[in-house]
Amino acid sequence: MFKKGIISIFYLSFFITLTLFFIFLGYVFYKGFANFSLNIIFDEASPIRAIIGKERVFDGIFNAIVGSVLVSSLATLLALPFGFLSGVYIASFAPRRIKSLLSFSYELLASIPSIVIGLFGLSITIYLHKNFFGNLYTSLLISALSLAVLILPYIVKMSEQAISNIPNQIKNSALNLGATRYENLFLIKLPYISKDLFGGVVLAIGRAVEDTAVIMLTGAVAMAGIPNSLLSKYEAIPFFIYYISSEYQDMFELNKGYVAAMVLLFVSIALFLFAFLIQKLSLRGKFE
Amino acid sequence: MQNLFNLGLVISVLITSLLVVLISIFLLYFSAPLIFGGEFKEFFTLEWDPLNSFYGLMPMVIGTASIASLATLFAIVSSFSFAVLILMFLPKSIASFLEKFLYFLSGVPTVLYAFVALFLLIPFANDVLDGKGLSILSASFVLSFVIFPTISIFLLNSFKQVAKKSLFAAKSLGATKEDLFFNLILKSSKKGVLSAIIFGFARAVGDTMVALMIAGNSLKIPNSLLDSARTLTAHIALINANDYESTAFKALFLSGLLLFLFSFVTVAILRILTRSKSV
Repeated sequence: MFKKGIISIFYLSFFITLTLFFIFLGYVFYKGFANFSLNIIFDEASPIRAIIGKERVFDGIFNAIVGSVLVSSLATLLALPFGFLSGVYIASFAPRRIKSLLSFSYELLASIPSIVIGLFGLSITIYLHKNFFGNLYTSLLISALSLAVLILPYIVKMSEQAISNIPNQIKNSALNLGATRYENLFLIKLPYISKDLFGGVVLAIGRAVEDTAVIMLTGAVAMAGIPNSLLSKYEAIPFFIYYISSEYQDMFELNKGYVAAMVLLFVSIALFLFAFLIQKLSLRGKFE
Repeated sequence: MQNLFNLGLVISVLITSLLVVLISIFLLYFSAPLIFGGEFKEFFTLEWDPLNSFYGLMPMVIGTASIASLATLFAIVSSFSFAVLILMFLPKSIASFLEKFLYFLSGVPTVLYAFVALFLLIPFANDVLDGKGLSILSASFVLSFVIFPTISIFLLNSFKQVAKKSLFAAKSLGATKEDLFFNLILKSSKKGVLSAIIFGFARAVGDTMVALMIAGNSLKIPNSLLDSARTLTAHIALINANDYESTAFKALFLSGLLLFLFSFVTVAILRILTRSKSV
């Protein structure tokens, strides 16, 4: 009886939580759609001319969208080669002791609060500004570097796991036929896991897009326009949402915040579904 | 070609694994003047007031501890219900959909939760609680939604590791689903449950946006759950980066160092818990 009672409490809390989540998701989409207009995104500029860069947008969230795309893709480009190679090293070459030490360091890196990574980016900038480059300030490049630090442990872990999850018969058969470790890695293992890797990269992009704490310390500002160099300030969607929530003056600005929230949610859903589909495809390929 | 590849491997492993060391060195370098300046104890007093040179970080430490532990408490209830129901009580198709939904939720930007809560929950809470909407209670309630998917996934995975054999044995002896869960699965995954809770608590401590936007950021020591409070993360986020030399600015690095040490301890505990496998 007692156990059944607890299970029914579980059902109750399950439905309450699920309802609250649907209210949350529904609210973001409802408010976003209700206030959506091209004006909010592009202001007075014509959308096509804004996208090809012919016309400047002054008061729309288009600048923030461009800033977010730039900073997160730059971060992924920076983190990907290093993270991937480290993952390959841990999975196929590292001796046992080193492996455990390395994985501790990546776990620690993954668990550091993102605001501390932002603080790290800021302190490096201050240090370089004072000692070496007098005109270096927090900027798109610094943000991208800090975000790269943030998503690096995910990329390492994902590539390591993808390689160690390869079934033994596939891992070892080419070695038994006389292939070197490198031939085995490049001709057998990497092609086998390529789709998993791609899915993981998409998820890493998602992490970079959503993070607010890192970019608010390292160069995201409320008004910057489209950045014209790596060393200029920029706007970003998550920071814009935070900014609007604390500083909005009128309904029009708040509506921009709602639309920005919907865009952010839409992007994170789209990236998740994309990664999910890729991984599904890769599984199907393995069973055929 | 192989040498080049080897070189690339070594260089990237060195860079990526030493990042943690680099971060700790920078935090130490910037907070060293405070630690070794002879006034170290002053940073653990109860008042933060840079104008009168009080630099106590304790209000933020207390704020962090209370918000994070309350959020974990809220999240434990909902995570347990999701993990248990998905594991054995819901139809398979719904359960596997919900599992993917949890993975999706664990990636939803936290700034969205805070943003929505600010316009849905806070006006309501202000009505009910006499204008005390921006408080520890609302912040930890919202934060529990941020950490709940992570804890659920963690719990679910550790429940799933209970050996199939013993499950079948218990079933064939006539155990009901409730018996299975409480007498077998829960008892054999104690360590998994503990690490899930620690992991969730660490995520709650590390989150910035919810506490920053919902907890009200007051500098007073909170007396009740309805008081406003500031967390260490929010304190760093509210940085005023105009004066790099001031003690107030350097104290931020001390806050960062505290958070870093906290992560170090959590990761070490989680390692010890997972190394000595139960069951």
